[in-house]
Amino acid sequence: MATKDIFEAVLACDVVGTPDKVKAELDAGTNAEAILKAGLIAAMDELGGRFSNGDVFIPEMIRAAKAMQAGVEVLKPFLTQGLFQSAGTVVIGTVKGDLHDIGKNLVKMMLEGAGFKVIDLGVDVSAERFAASAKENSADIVAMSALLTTTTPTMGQAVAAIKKQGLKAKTIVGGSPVTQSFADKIQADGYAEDAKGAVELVRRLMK
Amino acid sequence: MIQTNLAEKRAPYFRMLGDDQIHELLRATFGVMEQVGFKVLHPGAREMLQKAGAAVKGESVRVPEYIVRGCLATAPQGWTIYNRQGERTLEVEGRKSYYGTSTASPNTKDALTGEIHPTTVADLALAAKVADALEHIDWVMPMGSCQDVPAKAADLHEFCATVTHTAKPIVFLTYSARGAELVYQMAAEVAGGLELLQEKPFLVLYPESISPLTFPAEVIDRMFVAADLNLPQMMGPSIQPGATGPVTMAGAVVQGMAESLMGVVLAQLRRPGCPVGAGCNFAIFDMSLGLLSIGAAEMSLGLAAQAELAQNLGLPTWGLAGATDAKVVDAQAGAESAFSILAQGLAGLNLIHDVGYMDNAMVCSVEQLLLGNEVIAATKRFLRGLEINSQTVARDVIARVGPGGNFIEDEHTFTHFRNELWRPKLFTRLHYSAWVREGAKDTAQRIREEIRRLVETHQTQALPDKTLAALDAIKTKGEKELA
Repeated sequence: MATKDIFEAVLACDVVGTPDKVKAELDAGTNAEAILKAGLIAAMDELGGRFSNGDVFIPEMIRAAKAMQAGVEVLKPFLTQGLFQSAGTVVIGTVKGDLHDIGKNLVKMMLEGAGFKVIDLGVDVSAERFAASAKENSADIVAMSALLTTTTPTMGQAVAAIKKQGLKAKTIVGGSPVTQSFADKIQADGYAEDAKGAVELVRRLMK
Repeated sequence: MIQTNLAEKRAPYFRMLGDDQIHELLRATFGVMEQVGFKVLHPGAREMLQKAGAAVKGESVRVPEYIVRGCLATAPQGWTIYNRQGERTLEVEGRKSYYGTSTASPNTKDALTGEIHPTTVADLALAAKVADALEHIDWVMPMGSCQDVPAKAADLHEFCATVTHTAKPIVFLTYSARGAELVYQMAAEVAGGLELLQEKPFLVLYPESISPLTFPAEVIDRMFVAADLNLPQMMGPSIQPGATGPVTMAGAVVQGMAESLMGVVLAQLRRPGCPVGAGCNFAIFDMSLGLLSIGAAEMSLGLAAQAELAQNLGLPTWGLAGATDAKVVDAQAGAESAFSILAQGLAGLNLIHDVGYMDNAMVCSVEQLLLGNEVIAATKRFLRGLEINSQTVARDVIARVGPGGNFIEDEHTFTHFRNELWRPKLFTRLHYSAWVREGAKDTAQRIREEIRRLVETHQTQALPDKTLAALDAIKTKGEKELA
């Protein structure tokens, strides 16, 4: 038994086996931080590389992330306080008038897999609700999605509302009718053309 | 001579599903409608469904089979669609296939320069004009989603630009129910009055619900506009297997069929007997990129299977072909276009749309449309099949020419060659040195030249000035109203 087995369990997307192996390893006396770093985080990094290469795919990334999170839950009581905190808080939603959410859901899942805390406001979300949630949750990022060309105005309104309230949250936008130049026009902090890009963008903005 | 029981003509076709499989998939479809149900976000529609006997709880509506069957009994099994001139053009029924353009893209590949830019009204006007000229494009959709006009009224501009520049039947979408009403007002002007439009409809509404199993209020409002006018509509739920529907195609087909039939139910309960088709789309969700793909082989598989279910129930069907994820008109564009066009022609789908779609459905392209037009021509020749009679079997000709003879100068060849052999207009068969002498142009270049020629020479029958003025008035007034 070693952290290597935990590493392999995450790679295998083993949602049940990973927390079991983590518990066994803790019982065997291995340090919690070591398990986290060499077992769980290292596995997600490895998978991230394979995903970029096109050898591992979205459903596998999502499942592996679930396995990792299950392992983290077992470790939490044993970790030095503050060592494992989320990478940041993201408020996400599909804008008002739009009910399409598969892209938004994909971004949410990938952000969670990357260690972010995500507050999902769902669909048909007004500018006011984005701003209110950003304030309530001290969000680092507000992420807005749309499919319909007629609904993108909400994005500009939300950016303005967040700026007006002086919130720390940065705003990012995405979806088929959204472009970099639209994002620039409404003074959003970023635009991503796909889900993977969204995660990278959030990481960049968090630095 | 009397010969019994010899068919002279049979077209090649394929059937994917056995009767046992159709039965299995339809049982699952009715099961989904009755046990899983739908999210129906339109209170009036929920009330209508409840009165009809559906199980309504909050926004959830579950529809028992007998209600669906009742609606199938009233839905017409076919429609006649006319052109702008009131001439009978399409019989949307059975296994009659007609190819149409793409639509709704935020971007356009410029018809003349090939550059990709945000879609403009001018792009749509040009696309409609070229589509009007293409022999094998039977009907059109406004070729893009205009970015240079107010978004909420863009549908008015899109329909106006299209109906002005082509006389072919139009399948259209709108961004609101009021938009649909205004487009129908425009269409009535063109037809010479609402009654004439209803008698000889030249347009078909295209509403898309949201998968999985969700019907927004605005979509239903649009459907009700068409139903109330007794004008045809073709359902367009769009499933991405593995994202918004089961990843296994059989499951995706079942869910798609359920969503499509729910559209039929909504339309029939609103107005029994109104024309509504059991359309469905599958777009493959790329598991690496998380992006939608419109060129995959599985797409045609799902469409063909869903259409066989719809054909079994006697409803008009929908397809998606001539589309590519390629960003330029290259080998991928050709391969994906040809594959889908042939597969879906063989499957007998009725209204096959999206010829001209590129780049993950982000771009409409007149270049891709021309490529598709050529492929459709070849496909039509193929689907004509073989004619078998004493003339074509030509035993006497074979005997006459004999071993070692030649057929080029024979009278039989002279009589039949034009009808028998397809001549490509775009694809080259030149001797290599001739091809070099003519500029060594690849297909994309020759397509661009042909577009230029069509734009310069083709004349769409113009609408009367009175009609154009009326359309403009509706558009201007509508734009203010929708703002």
